[in-house]
Amino acid sequence: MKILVYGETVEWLKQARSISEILDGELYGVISSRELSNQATRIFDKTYVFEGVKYEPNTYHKIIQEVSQKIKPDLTIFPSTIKGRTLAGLYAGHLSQPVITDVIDVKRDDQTLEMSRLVYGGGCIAKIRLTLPVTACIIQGAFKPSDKQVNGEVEYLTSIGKELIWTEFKKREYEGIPLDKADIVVAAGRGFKKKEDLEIVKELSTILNGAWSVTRPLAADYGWSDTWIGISGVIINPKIYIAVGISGQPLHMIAVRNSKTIIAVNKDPNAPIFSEADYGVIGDLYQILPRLLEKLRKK
Amino acid sequence: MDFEFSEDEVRFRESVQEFCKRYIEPRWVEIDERGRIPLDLIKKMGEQGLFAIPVSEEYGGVGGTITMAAIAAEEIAYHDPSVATAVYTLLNNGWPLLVERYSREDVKKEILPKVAGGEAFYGIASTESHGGSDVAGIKTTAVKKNNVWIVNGEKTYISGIREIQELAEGGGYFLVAKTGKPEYGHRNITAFNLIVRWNGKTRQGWKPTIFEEIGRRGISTGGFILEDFEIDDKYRIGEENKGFYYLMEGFNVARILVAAATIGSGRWALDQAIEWIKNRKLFEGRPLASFQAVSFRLSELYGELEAARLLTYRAAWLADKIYIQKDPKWKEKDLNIPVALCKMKAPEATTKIYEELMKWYGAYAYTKDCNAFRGWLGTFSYTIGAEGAQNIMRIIIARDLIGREYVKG
Amino acid sequence: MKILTPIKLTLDISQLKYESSGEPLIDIAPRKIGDSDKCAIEEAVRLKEKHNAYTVAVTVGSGPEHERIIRDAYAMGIDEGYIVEVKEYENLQAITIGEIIASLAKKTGPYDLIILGAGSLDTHSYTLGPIIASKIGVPIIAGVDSLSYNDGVFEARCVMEDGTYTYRVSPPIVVTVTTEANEPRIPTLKTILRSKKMEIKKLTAEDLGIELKRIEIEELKRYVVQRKKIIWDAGEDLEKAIENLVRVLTSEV
Repeated sequence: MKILVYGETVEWLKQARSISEILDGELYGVISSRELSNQATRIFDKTYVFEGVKYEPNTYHKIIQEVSQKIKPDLTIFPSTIKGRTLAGLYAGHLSQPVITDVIDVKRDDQTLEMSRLVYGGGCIAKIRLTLPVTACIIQGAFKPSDKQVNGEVEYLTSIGKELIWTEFKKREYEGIPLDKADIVVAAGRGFKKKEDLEIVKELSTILNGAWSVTRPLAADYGWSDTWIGISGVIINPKIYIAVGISGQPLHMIAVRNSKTIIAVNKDPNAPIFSEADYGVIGDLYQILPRLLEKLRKK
Repeated sequence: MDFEFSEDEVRFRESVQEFCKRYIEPRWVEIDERGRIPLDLIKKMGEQGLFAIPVSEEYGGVGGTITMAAIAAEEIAYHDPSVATAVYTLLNNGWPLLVERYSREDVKKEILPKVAGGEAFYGIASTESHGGSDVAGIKTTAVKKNNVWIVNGEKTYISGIREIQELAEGGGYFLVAKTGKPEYGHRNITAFNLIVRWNGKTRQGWKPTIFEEIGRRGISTGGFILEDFEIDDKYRIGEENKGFYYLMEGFNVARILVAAATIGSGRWALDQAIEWIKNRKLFEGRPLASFQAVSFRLSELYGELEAARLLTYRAAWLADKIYIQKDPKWKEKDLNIPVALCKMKAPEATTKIYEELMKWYGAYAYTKDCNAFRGWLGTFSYTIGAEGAQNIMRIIIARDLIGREYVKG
Repeated sequence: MKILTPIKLTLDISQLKYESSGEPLIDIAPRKIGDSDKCAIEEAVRLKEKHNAYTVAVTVGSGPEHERIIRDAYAMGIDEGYIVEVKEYENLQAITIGEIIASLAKKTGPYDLIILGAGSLDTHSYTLGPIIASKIGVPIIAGVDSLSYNDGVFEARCVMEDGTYTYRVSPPIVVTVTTEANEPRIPTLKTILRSKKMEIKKLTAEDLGIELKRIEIEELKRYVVQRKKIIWDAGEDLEKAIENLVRVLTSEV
């Protein structure tokens, strides 16, 4: 079976390798940066690389489609990010293939694929059976990155000169470690009353050598941040995720569920997050965080 | 019998809920604490079509029903349990209906569109300091001189005094004054559109004062003196000396909306109670709700609230039959008992809910951190007597059941 | 300008309840129009007000609730509406829905803009917009939180994981909007009453020449997360809780 993967980070590409091992398939990759190609050629049996084009879905799709024509994959995989899902939609639409998003598990039975996907805001898992060929968007962190190394081929694509549509890109400025690369992430939710109070979250993330962010309401509604953690924002799977003043709504939890350890601080003992946490403290974050920082500084 | 709201009514209720969640719920505590409804909110409510709902589109109204006005009052009060915003809304829904019913064409076209748009306030000026329930005993007089009425007197416990002075246009009141011979009792009262401020200019002879109330603080209450205030005869409402009857009609409509408002606030209180008793744990981690004394009381309170609610919407249904559908089978006075019943039951059911809620909260309810007191004080004003004293309601009902010769008042 | 807004009636996940076995009670959960679809309608109506556009809504399904969401779209200002009547619309493949919408667009168009919510409440897949774009053969801009139209060009801003993208392109295009795009207007009683009198046009998948492909869900159950759930109450002993937290953090880091 042939599997084609589109991805932008090494961690994700390694997760795709795991999937190909489970399904016993040949793994092909298409990536948009030469920087990644050295590592990619150790992950994919063959890597197609293109460069010099800003992300613009229609353009990226054209390129991925060209690669697909060369390989004719049985399964095409994208990450379940906004970009990935958009590209998956264009791709599957063009080929009239079924497309399934938020996949967390796959099994193969000859020419059919059994996939488990999240639905209803991450509250439920649906098991679906489809005949190949199929397009799927896999949630980051659902599969463990594979350590298997190969000696893959590489091909550099040059057919596209520039974006099909006028595109301007402004890179997100991260203070410190980017959210999706951090091992430890601290996040603030609606338990916080003022923007200035977020300083303590920043401090905690610095002391732990991690990154920090907020939940969607703090960004979209209050305007305290440009980015947020959630299904419509950034999806993370760090080693430790600390949720402060966050109730644990489904659309937020989807984006953090694959964290290895989840720690929650909330004053509401009935907050849904406590049933999704490994460790939790019921209490006032305004009391707990300063004391926690004090103790951590001493160590 | 159809106990379902129509699809229009359901959709309208949902639209009001959405509006309230967005614009009123986040600010209701501030409205009560500061004692004012922000002018930009009043403007938004006008744009949303929450005023003059039962007034015809011809006069700038929404072309809706009294039931819709009751739905609006209930939902606004759910999201501002102090009921100030709901009361502001219902006054500008109920009394304009009477204006449409009995005023001159040109006056309707002058006043109503501005009320509908939220630019002018329209309320009721009946109560005087020596008696609110005793309408026939009012002392404000209006004397006619060449097609102009000269009005002298004073009114007190009147809503909207401050808002009239702050809104772009201004506003006024459904005024009742003595115009006929004293021996004719209540048949010597005439109703007028008392426009005290218009085009941003205050009229001569209107001297207002504002009181500080303990609850429902978002809407102002005060009084005014009328000193040789001139009202052109064209602003008279209906026929001379028939004002008492028009006033009773207005009270009937307004009382339905008041009942709806208190029920909205009561529903909020009940929802707070349910949340609290489920989560409050004592005596070795037992939630309050697990004690039968608590859960039984909750059931009783809900029963009373639902009963009052049904009475209210039944009265609204009947009011629509009379005033909107103009069904000849029903007369205006058929509303008296249904209205008296819902006005009697609704505030009392709500007050009981607040009392119990605050007992369940315990000492917390006594602090300003807990906002329940705002709903308690706001709705309590309707148990004390605003818009129709509770004991007057009892007289109305008793008279109907037993007869005038037994019930002298 | 002519605009098409496909809208979806989805399960209201905030009201979804479960059996004790973990089975979700799908049948009794209420349905509603998605928040991002409402934002799409709002964008369409704003373009109508600014540029005199003609706006059309379409939904796939059947029954009174689908009529209701078209009427709600009317109450927000949409001019015309279609229902493509399909039984059990909820297990239709995204590809099929895309084909249906594309076919309707070709039949009732041409449209300068097809605008819909980026992700539906139930599947949050973000794929329908791109599928429609690929079927019609026009560009897509997905995940837009700010859209404007000037001198024949649409400008759209998308905030993504790595930064902010701004695109400019002339119609015809497909756009999907997020709930950050705008605050949808609330229908007034007047618009609600008016919407009752408007006609809703109905079609079938056969009328559009589309073969229905469905997804068979073999199993649907609650997603139960296995976590340690070790909780400490700071109200009882703040110091102990903090100590425990520190211990966990220093050992796991």
